[in-house]
Amino acid sequence: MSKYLIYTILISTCSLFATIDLTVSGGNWSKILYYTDISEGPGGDFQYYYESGASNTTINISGCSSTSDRWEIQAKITAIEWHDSLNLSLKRTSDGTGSGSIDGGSSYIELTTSYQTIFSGMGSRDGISLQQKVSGTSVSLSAEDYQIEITYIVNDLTDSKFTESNPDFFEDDSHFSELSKSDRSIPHHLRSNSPINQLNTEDNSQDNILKSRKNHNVSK
Amino acid sequence: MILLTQTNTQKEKLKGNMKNLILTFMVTLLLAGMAFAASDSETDTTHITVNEVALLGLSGSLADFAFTAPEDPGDTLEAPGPDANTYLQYTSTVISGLSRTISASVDTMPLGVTMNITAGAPGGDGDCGEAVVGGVDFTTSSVSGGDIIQSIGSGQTGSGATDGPNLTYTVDFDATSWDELYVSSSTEVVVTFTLTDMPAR
Repeated sequence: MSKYLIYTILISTCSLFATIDLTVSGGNWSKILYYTDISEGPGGDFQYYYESGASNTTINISGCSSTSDRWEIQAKITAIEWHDSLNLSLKRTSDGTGSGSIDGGSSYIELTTSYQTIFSGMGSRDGISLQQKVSGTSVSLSAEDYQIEITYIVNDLTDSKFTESNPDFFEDDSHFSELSKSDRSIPHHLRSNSPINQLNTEDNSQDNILKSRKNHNVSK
Repeated sequence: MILLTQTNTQKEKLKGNMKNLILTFMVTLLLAGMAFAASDSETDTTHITVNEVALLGLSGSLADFAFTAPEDPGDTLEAPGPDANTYLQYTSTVISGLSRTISASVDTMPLGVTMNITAGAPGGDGDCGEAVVGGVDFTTSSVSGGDIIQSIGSGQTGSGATDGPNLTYTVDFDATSWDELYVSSSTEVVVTFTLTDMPAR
């Protein structure tokens, strides 16, 4: 029992130290549409889309234990007062600085109410700039203030494939095929990337042990 | 001996169950730790504010009418044909539940002359309202006119040369005031279109 307790303490400690921090600054983009935005004059319409400044939002990733510590930034929207014809997109306009790397997100990605990956990278990075675009703007909208909340999340891909944005990870059997044979050994069964697999293995092994002993006793 | 074996089996089973319980507890701890440690989130709010817009314009050419003498002596003057070369174009954005109308009025009408302005279907995108059937009539004694488009919400007619409701001007002479019709030089009639906010629809 003490062996398992040690594993638990070790893993919990590792998890605490593995936290990657996300800081979002700037943002709160506000676009006000006036009649002067209708360049065609009477009968005309607003532009179909408007963009924020190229560096409207700045993201910092910190707390990575090394330059090979992998992470991804995901985002989703939650309507506060919104219209179905409006769409919000994000794109990354700078790499930021840091010794790791960054990839993806250089073209606009339309946000939905479900988390989706905007870009990913490795190691801590500062000053990653994002630009927003709202499309579907039209005078057909009622005159009011439309608001939408963007939630950004950083997922530590090195630490775990289980994320807040992917709570069903363990429900998907396809991930188990990614596990190597060595993952199934008892001493490593609490590795953070394969707990359920090992739980199943352990459960089965315990069942087999019980069945074996029971059969043995009966035969006696 | 058999009883002892059964007791041992029960102990083994209990031990196994305890092991399972401990493992489940540890894995639960692990998952809880990962759920809180593997991600971090922040939020940001975007505002798009659409202000009220009320833009109104006309496209097309000025209407020009001239009464002509009848071919046969004794007949009445021949009224000019209608003019339909003008289009009303507008952009409207209203607060939800409100609407607008477009009315037409004239500054004057020559004695003995009547005029009617009727709008065609607005078309366009959004809620461009509806044309008033029959349009608006003007006489020498009635120049204030009335609505020609009603129930305009948020929408736009388009700004192309022939976008928007087509306006048809029809001029005739007033049979009831025939005796007031005199030969004169051209009279200019200024038609004013007004886009007006209305109370809640």
